[in-house]
Amino acid sequence: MLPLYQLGGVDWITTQALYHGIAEMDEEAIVLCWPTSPYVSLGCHQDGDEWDSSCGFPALRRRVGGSLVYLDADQVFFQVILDAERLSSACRPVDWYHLALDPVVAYLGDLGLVATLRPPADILLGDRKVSGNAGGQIDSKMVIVGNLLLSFPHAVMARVRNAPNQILRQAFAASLAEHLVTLRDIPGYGDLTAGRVMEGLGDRYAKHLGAIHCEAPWSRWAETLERVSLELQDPAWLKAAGMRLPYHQIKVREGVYLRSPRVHENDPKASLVIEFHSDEGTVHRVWGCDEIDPRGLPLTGRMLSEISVPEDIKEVLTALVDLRSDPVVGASNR
Amino acid sequence: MATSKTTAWTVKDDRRYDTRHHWVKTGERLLTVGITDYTQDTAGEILYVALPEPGTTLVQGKPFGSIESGKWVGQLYAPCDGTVIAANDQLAQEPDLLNRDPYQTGWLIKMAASSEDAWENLLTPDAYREHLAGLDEPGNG
Repeated sequence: MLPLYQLGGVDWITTQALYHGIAEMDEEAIVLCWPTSPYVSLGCHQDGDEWDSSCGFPALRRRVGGSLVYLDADQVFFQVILDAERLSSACRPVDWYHLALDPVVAYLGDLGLVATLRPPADILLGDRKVSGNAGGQIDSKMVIVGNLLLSFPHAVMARVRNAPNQILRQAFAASLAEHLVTLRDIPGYGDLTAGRVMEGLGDRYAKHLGAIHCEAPWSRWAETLERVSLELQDPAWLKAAGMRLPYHQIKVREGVYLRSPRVHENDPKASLVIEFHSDEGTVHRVWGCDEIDPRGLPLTGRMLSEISVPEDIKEVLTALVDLRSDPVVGASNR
Repeated sequence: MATSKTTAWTVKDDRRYDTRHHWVKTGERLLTVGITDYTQDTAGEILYVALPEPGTTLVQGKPFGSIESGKWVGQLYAPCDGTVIAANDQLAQEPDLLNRDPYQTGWLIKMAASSEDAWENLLTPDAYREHLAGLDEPGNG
């Protein structure tokens, strides 16, 4: 039996301790919930310096992938914890994402919205992200976690992400506004509640995976959840070094990245920020470069070769786009 | 070097394996550990690897590191008890070595095994091929 726990509002750290702890206890589950207060969650391999600890929100580092996210009560979480044997051992992560996220796509269909899974793990409405997800192995379990956005404060998200300068923060907020969509943004869905979304998701997980509604065994879980809660917030784990690219990069959604050169803060080029679309290999916006456009407005779909800029700036921009779309420099010794 | 294919994955004859798809090769005193072709293939493009510091104690079957590909974190498991002697620093700059050359330059760690029979407890290449052959059907694993 695959238990389905519809928990509603849960304290912030427990929302994350749940899927780690359930996997450690070698149990399968579908958990639906939301946090009763806001917090920040770092990806397993993310550099700890990417979290701005002065932002005023508590933080933890999860043991699944992806990057830093701001989370609050206007995001409905789904957490899928499954035995590895549910799929062939030859399956790829993308197969696990499909298994766990197809019910979410179907639920959006139930609402009358046309959603698609953009591999590996974003759910889009049109070309805008409404759900970010990540996954991984925790002990013997396959774990896929994510959320549906009811609303999202772009400026707050930009605030919690450490940035070398304000221009990158402003660019981040602007790019989020363009590439994210929330359910309440959509005309006719403004009164959608977290509870209603949770119920709808629960119906879909029951139908797709055969999950059965169960009461959460809080007392049996308590000891594990308490221990895991502390581990996820351990200062050494939270601030550990991780992925460090040759430039600053923020992923806005799959295929859309903000990049800025790693140069000394007094270097005028430090304020250059590009929005790079890796599928097309195009620069869609540039900030911090008055020679290109003093307003920093979109240079929609322009190939770098088509942009007329001084050679020294072009050299910097070329370095930002001339690398792999998901480049990661680094292995950490933890 | 003798190699063979079981399903789509290369298995080298000059080393041994565990059921979690790591290879182990003996040297004069140390064991070298890496991931198999199966692991790199099913993971997809590997973007990051976290490895332990030299001196770290390894416990057979317990995670000693992790890899990330496509927002997915996979675990690396110790093939036997022992101690980490060295980690492959080259992976810091080129994590894609794990995809391009998992059996040679993409090695993960060198370790000293705690017991002399660690090698004997690992799978022979043929036994590992049999293990891979059993993975093709859902529910096997």
